[in-house]
Order: sequence, then C-alpha cells, then structure tokens
Amino acid sequence: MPRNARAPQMARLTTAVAAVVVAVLMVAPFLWMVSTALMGEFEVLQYPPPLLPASPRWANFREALTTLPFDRFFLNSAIVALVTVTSQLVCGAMGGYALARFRFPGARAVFAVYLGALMVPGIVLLIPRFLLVDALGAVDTMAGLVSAELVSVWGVFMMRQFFISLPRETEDAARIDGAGEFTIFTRIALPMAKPALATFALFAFIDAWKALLWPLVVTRSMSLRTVEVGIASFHGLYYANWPYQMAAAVTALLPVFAVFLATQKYFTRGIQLSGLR
Amino acid sequence: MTQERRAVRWGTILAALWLLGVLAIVYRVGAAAENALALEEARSVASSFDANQRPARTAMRYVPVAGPIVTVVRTMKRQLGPAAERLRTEERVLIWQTWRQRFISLPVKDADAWDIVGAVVVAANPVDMPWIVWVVTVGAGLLALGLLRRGMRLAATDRETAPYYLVADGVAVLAIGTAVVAILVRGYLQEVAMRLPPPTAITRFDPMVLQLPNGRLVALVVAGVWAAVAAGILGTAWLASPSQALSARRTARTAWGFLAPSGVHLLLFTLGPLAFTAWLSLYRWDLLATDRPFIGLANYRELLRDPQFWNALKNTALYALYVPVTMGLALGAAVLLNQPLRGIRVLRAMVFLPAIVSYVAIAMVWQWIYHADYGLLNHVLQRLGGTGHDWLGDPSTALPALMVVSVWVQLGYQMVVYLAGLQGVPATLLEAARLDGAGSWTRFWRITVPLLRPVSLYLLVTGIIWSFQVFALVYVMTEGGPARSTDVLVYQIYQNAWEFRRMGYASALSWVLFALLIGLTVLQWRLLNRRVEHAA
Amino acid sequence: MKAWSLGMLLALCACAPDTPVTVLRMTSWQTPAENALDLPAIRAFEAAHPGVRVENEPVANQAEYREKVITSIASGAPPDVFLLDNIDVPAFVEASVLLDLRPFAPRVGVSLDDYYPNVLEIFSRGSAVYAFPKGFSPVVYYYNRALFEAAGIPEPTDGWTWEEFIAAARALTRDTDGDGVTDQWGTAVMRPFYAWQAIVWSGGGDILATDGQRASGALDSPETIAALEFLTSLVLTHGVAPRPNAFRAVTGNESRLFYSGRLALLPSGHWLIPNIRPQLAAGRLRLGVVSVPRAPGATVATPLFASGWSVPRNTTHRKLAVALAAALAGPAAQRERLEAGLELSAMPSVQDAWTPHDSSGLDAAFVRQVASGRPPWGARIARFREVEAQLPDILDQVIIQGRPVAEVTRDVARRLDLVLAR
Repeated sequence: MPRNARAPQMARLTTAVAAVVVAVLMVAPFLWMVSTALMGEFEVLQYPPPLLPASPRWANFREALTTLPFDRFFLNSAIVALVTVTSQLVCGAMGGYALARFRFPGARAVFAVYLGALMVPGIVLLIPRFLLVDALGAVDTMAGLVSAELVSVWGVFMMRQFFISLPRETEDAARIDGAGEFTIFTRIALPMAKPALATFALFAFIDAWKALLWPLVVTRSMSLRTVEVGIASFHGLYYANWPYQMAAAVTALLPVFAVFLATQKYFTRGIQLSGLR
Repeated sequence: MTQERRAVRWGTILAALWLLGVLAIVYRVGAAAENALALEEARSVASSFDANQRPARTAMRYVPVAGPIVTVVRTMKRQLGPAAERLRTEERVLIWQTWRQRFISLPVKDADAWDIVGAVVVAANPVDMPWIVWVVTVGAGLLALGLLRRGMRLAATDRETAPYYLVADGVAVLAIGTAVVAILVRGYLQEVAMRLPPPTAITRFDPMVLQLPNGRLVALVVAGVWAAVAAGILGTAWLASPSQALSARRTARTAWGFLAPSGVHLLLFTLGPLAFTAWLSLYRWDLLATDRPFIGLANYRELLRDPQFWNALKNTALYALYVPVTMGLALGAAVLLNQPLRGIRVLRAMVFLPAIVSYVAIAMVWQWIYHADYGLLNHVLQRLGGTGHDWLGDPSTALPALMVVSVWVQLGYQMVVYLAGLQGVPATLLEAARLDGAGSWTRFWRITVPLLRPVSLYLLVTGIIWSFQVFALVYVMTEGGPARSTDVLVYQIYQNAWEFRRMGYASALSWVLFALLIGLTVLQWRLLNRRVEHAA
Repeated sequence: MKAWSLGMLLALCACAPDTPVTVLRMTSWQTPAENALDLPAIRAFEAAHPGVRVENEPVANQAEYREKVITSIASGAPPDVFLLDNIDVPAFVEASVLLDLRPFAPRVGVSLDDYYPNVLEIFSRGSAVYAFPKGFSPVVYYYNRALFEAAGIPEPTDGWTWEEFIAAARALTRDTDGDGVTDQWGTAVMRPFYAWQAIVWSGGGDILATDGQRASGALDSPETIAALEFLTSLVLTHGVAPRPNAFRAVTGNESRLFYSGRLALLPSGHWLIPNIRPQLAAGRLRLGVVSVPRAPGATVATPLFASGWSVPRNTTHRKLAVALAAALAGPAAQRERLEAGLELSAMPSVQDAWTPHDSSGLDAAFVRQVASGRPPWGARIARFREVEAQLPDILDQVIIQGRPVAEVTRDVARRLDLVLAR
C-alpha cells in the first residue's frame, strides 16, 4: 500500500525536476540577453565573454530606447501586428474550415494549391511582392507594410488540421436543425477551435512582431519603421552596440511574452479541467 | 425561376465587368502613350527655346508665357491646381491630370543644366487609340453579353447538357475579343514607340523621360481580367445548373465563399509572384539592369553542373532531419508540461522562450556553448573525462551542431501546437480506457498519439518546409562555413538574389527547391495521411 | 501630332518669395551613433537652404541597406542622396544609376583636387565622378604595444617582411599559465577576404588578372601561392594564430582576443577604433599601427576601403541633392567624423590639420599607409561579390582540410574563371 501511494508522488517529483531542468536550459539565452543589456559597451567584447556585468548599467535601457524614436516604432509594430493577426485569424479560420469540412468539386485541387503555396521559398517572393506593392502605389505606406502578410497559408493549413481532428457531429446536428453555414461556423466550429485559434494568434503575432526584411524594404520613412527594424539599427557592419541592441530586444520581447501568457490559458485550460475531473 | 434570373444577372454583371476592365486598361494605355508624345513635343519646344529670349509667336501652336516663374505658376494654378508650385522645384517630367485634360510639364534648365529657369507645359491629346480597338471591345462585350444571357438561362433550366457547354460561345467571344484587343493595343504601342526616340540604358533612370507602358505587361493584365471573368462565368453557370444537386451547389458556394478572402490574397501575393519567378528563371535578370536577356534553361543547367549546389542540397536534406527529433521531444515536453503542477504556466513560457528570442542572441549563446576553448560543452565533456572539440570549426560537426540549436529553437513552438492538440483528446476516451485497465503508457500510445496524428502531420510537413526555408541561423552563426559544411539552398538563394543581384538564377534555385518540397510533401502525405484519415 | 491644344512656356528667373517645403531624402548604412555625426552638416545645409527639409533614413546593416537602395531606385522613388560603398560602384555605374557629379562640383563649391587622388579614383570612371568621398581606411596591422614590451622585442616598422613578422609573432605567442594551451596569440588569420587582400598584394601577387576577367594566372601564380602559404603557415606551421572560425566578424573571436590583450597583431581598418576608444582613452589598451608585412623584394600595397555620397540619376531634386551630397562630404563634416575616429578623411588638408590633435595617436601611422593604397577589387569589377564569396574557401581547404595551397588555388581559380565568364 505505501509503495502504491508513494509511486505517483515519486513520478510527480521526477517530472517536476525534469520540467525545471528543461526550462532552465531553455531560458539561458534570455538571461544572456538581459545580462548583456546591462553590460558596458566594451565589457561584452572580452575574451572569454563575461557571464554577468561587473556592475549592472540600467541606463542602457533608457539610452537605447531614446536614441531612436522607439515609442513610434512600438506603435507601428502594434498596429501591424493587430491588423495582420486579425486578418490572418479570420481568413485562416474560414479557409481552414472550408478545406476541412466541405466536399466540393475542386476541393482537392484547392487544398493542393494552398499546400503548394506553403512551399514557395519566401525569400524569392520579396522582389516580386515589392514590385506589386509598388505598382499599387503602396510603398512606404502602412497598407503596403501590412499587405504582404494579411493571409498566412500556414494558418489555413493549421486550422484545417485542427478542424479535421474535431468531431463534426454537433455541426451536423445544427445543420439538420436548419442553421445557416455561417452561423454554424461562428457559433459551433469557432468556439470549439479556441485552442487552435489561440495558438495561431500567438504564432501570427510573433511573426508579425519579428518580421524584418519586408518592413525594411517596403518602408522608407522613419515614421513607419517597426521595432525589429529599430533594433537592427544598432548592428552595423564592423561595429555593434550589443548592450543597446539587447536592451531594445529585451524590451521588444515583453509584448510577445505577454501575448504568450495571455493566450496560454486558452490552449491549456481544457486540459487542466479534464485533469481535475 | 429565381435561380434562372439570378444566373442571368450574374452573367450580365461579369460580362459588363470585363467590358469596363478592358476599356479602363485601354484608356490608361492610350493616355500614357499620348503623354509620352506630348513630352516629345515639349522637348522640341524646349530645345528651340533660348532662355534669354522670348520665343516668337509665329507659326507655333503654343501660347508662350514669359515672365518670372512665380507669376506663371499663379496663372497656371487655375489649370494645374495648387500643386503647380512643384514646377519650380521638381526636376522631372510631371503629369497633371485635371478632370478635363492632361498636361505634361518639362523643366527647362539654364545653359549649364543647373538651375530651373522655366518649364514647358503642353496639353496632351485626348486618347487617340485606333477606333477599331473601341469597336472590337464594345462589339465583343455586347455580343458576349447576349450569348451569355442566353447560355445562363439555358444552364438554369436544361437538365441534361453540361453548363460549361451552354456558356462556351459567350466565353469564347470574350476570349477572342481579349486577344484581339491585346494585339491591337500592342501594335498601337509599337507605332507610338516608332515616333519616340528609342529607349536606352540611360533613359531608364532619367526623370526627364516618360516610359511607355510595356506591351507584354498590358497583354498580361488584359489576359488576367479575361481569366478572372471567365472563371466567374463558368462558376456561375455551374452553380445555376439544376443538374447539380441543391445541397452540393450550396456547399460549393459556401466553401468558395469561405475560401475567397485567403484565396484572393494567395493569388495576388504568392501565386502571381511565383509565376513571375518562373518567368524570371529563364532570364538573366537584374533589378537595376536594362538588358535582361532570355537565356532559356541556362540557369537550370548552371545549377545542375555546380558542385556547390549539390553540396548545399545535401546539407539541406541532412539539416531537415532535426524536425522529427524536435517533434518527439516536443510531444514529450507537451505531455510533461500538461500536468496541473504549481508554476507550470511559467515553465511553459520558459520552454517557449527560445522561439521568440532574437537570432543574434541565440547565435551568441550557442557560440559560447560550442567554443573550443572556453565553451560550456567542452568544459562539461572534460569534467566527464572526455576531450574537447571545436564543434563549429570542424566541417563534420558544424551542421549537427546547428541542428541541435534548431531543435532547441523549435521545441517550444512545436510544444505549443501539441499542447493545443492535446486538448482535442476527449477525456472521456482516456477515462474509459483507464477503467478498462489500460496503463498510462498504453493510453498514451493507443489513444493520445493516434488522435494527435493530424497535428503531427501538420508539424512534420510544415517543419520540413520550414527547415528547407529558414536560413537565419546559418546566416548569423556560420555564413555557410567552415568549408561550406553549413551551406544550405535558401542561403544560396538569398546570396544570389540580393548580394549577387542574379535574380534569374535565384529564381531557378527556388523553383528547384519548390519542386523538391512538393515531392517530399506528397511523399509524406501518401505515407502518413492514410493513417490520419483512419484515425479521424 | 494633330490637335495639340494648348501649350505654355514658362520662363526665366527662379527667385521665389513664398517658399514651399521641399523634402530631400537621404539614406546611409550607419548605426545611430555614426549617423549622429552627419547631423551638424544636415542642419547647416537646412539653414543655408530655407524651405528645404532633409529626411534622414539610415539603415544599420549594409546588406539590408543595399536591398533598400536598389529596390527604391528601381521603383523610381530613390533617395535623393545615398551613401555608396566602394564595392557597389561598378554595378551601379554599369546600370547607369548614378549622376556624374564632376560637371556640378564647381557649382557647389567642391574642388575635386581636394581629395586624395587614389580615393577619388575609387569613385571615378574616366572623367566622371560618381560620389563625393566621405572617408576611407587602408587595411593595416594593429599591434598591442604592451605585449611587445613584455616580450622584449622592438616594435614593428612599416615595410617589415614576412620573416620579421613570423619572428615577432612567435615571440608573442605564449602559454602564460603553463597548462599546455596557448593563451596569448601572436596574430590572427581571418577568413574574410578584406583581411588578407593586402598580404597577397604585398607579396607581389593578386587574385585576378589586371583586367579583372580571369583568376587563372593570378590566383595560382607563384607570388600569390607564396603569400597564401605564408598566411596559412601562421596557423599550421608556426602555431602563432588560432584556427580561423566561421563566426561572423562582429561576434568573432579574433577581435575579442585582441580587445582583451591576448592577441598581439590584428589585421583591420580604421573602423576598429570607435569600438576601443574608451579603452584607449583609459590607457587599458596601448596600440600601434604598422603596415602589412611584405615579401622580400616586393612593395607594400593595401586596399583602400572608402564610401562616398552619391546622387541617383532619377532624383527629382537634382540640384539640391548635389548640394547636399557636397555638404555631407565637405570639410566640416569630414572633420566631425575624424573626431569620432571612424575613418580617415578623404581630404588630405582636413586630415593633416587633424592628425596632430588625434588623441589615439594612430592616425599619423594610418596616413603613412595611404601612399601604398590601391582601389580594392570590389571597386573595379561588378561581379566581385561573387568572387569574394568563393575566397574564404581557400583558407578553409588549406587549414581545415589540409590540402596544398597550389592545388586549392588552381581549383578556386578555375571556378572563378567560370563565375567571371557567365
């Protein structure tokens, strides 16, 4: 009896220890970022690199964030992220739902095209997309900045996979009751897909927040730059101001982290409930 | 009856759209051509005009207005609007579009080509496209309209014939009309080009020149309009046809409606550009150059003969092997961090951190871990009695070292997807199995893993694609070295497209990569999807 | 050409009482700190041109900067003034993207004779000049004077030979704590080509034939092979340099070792100085600058890396843009950058007036190298980036894979011939 009682406790302990070890391993680069952000400009360049600053230099944060108009950059990034995440969620959920649920002529072909689009090496689309946005007269505008990422094929594919793994009985029942397709989608399918949507939103947000090349090529004016472009500007060809760059990067990480914590409850709540039951 | 009327209405609208679209394009092209001709006229006036002397009013059809530029700007304001101020500062040809007329202005410089001393403003002709273009456009539009209305009505009532067949004549008229218009417009453009000085490398970036529209591009746009309209008509006919069951029709309409937003964007921002790169891959193409010769398959031949391409391909394939490893670990982590432990949410966030930290920081940390002299890894190995190694300096270990970093970066990402997927596993199923006496291990393998197959398939497919496409890690850590042991295909694409400005070659490389990925995905799909469908 | 309805000819005198705001856009690859050095010149320009506003849009990373400049020029909305690196000159000139500034130089008060002729040459084709040089740097060897003193050997002098270099490096390489691992290195061998171009030249060899059309006959010539053997022997035979690694330059080992006083001789350019100014000022690093070593009988030659302010031909404010480019490359702006220690001034008069005031004490030694400076290959042929991407392979194959230099150079030369021929 006591053995039986102790076994799950031991298991729990080992999992807890394992979890902590993994997590510490994962968190190392972040700690390094913070540590670097607090170092002197030259201290970073020692051999071997120091782990901790001799004395933390908090002023790095203030200086890094005021050298460039970072308030404006954050606002821009927020707008870009908000617009793209919303649009990607709407388009992705609709597209994924259609591909998962409806049988119609050409469905397989459409899915193949979506899947194919996933495989296009993004780097080579940069110039054609730029020429397109230029032809539409949207270079150096917020519209141009946002346009390229309004739809994420990854998202469509991901939502399709999730909808496939969800049971469809409830939807069929509603259909028999005479509910319209759009109502079924918004009232039944979407609420069930909340965890997937939260995951998708998280990824979409990260992608939008961390995009560098497109914002750089498609904007010219300072007033349209995003945070990531701002961070990159501390990193020259022969010379990088590591503490400033890391101070800005750590600050830029906070919103992403917040979004992670905010979305986390959606893709784990159900699990916890079922575990408690 | 409503079905029939709706079909006819949509058919009419689409044909009208075609008519308007083509007319608009033809008008824009004509206007651009007239502007270019007007500029030529302005140039000849400017060249005959001595800045210190009023031009004679004699035989010219111009009204010369001498005097300070400011006064003239004021006089012109009525016609050109308040933006006329730009005449004084901008050293380029300007087009002024008022609701009635287009003006072209050409700055006049002093003898040293330094100061702007004036401007020649010429009113451009109204669009002078050959009348046959208008006749063909309007004629084809009206004819097609009639044929389509008839076809649509039939499609909505005829139970036997295929709907495509019934609207085919209308669609064909549109197609022929489109082709004729494209040919005529191109001929017109060539004719205009004859009257203008030939373009050279110098005129490409000359702000004192107006470029004529590219005939091929115009033809392409017109063809695009036709294709979109034809697809719409055929789709409408199909939907209207009663030979389709009502529910199937409704499903199709709903599905297309749901797909429309993403589909349109996909067409515009991915498939269009992709087709463009296919075309590019047959050229030697540089964004800056004027000379972009057609070289057939030479780009493809070059890459097949290049040992560095094969080396990169090998590295790319090896590198992708990190994906299944990550998936296994991610599933483990997801199950591990799925427990209702205290502080588990923080732990999850920590595991996810590498996925959001900047690549530069990742590179720095891992260079530190792998360092031959002071690296953490060698330190630990030496403690355990092993010997150190220059992990990133040795060509045989550099790529595996990068793969470890990739696993570590992607772990959190994939874990999140698995966590979300785990929620879809019904607790009742697990509970029932538990009551049947299945152990936790059995439950995991027999219930959780099979139910997670769609998620796993997603992760595998996207993970492999991702691994083929992402080079940030290579870029910040090794730049392809040492001895090209970490050179991957995307990095070559990036270098060729941007550093070497060989867009044609980069496009060829991308198409090879694209084809490879399609092949791989089809393979994975064949192998895994059957089981997925079974599980679902 | 019927029916031209109305035309108007506006003429004479551009004097304007009510000035509208004209916006000039400029861009450069500069970090915020570097960019700040241009601000006084920009403000002065704005003050001298009422109604003109300069919008300054720097991008730090040079690769991304090029992408941006190229796309904006191609789309017909270029910046009015942009910073041109020597390596982009041939391609931009071939594409006829740049405005020839020579005819306008007198109008904006620039005398082209005020520049170092071999720096101006980098931006010139025939009589045309495509940028006003902003500053430049030769590649030199920095040396740590404290380490030389500790080893008890005399400091190196310009024009020293490979043998002298090896002797010094051997004396400076030490295992300070006696654990059998070298802790202090004589010198560094770096993979990027810019760091060893000067060694090849100073050995009497080259990587490409004079016309830049072929590598065979140059890269596999006895002189070049000797230079590469010298370079790789530093790692392989003499063990006076750590094995080169593939890390990117900014995160590289070599600079770390050098900054920490554990590496005595480092090949680099003037751009290193802003990194170490505080250390120099605090006396924590005492440095000297010496020419690259040469082969016996050969003369020292080193590349001059320069950048300058250019005006794209499709700018819409040509006159103002040329004036702004001139202001940004003018004596006042050059002096400003000298004080920050970023590079040498492209104007000898400005440089000579500054050198006595230079607190690092290194500028005098730098200026001595200018006479042996040549335009780098990147400033001469358009395909150089492709050539350059192949060159680190030589060091990798010799040092890591242990192949003989002659064999490797022959293979790489063949490959380069193909690259240059396509």
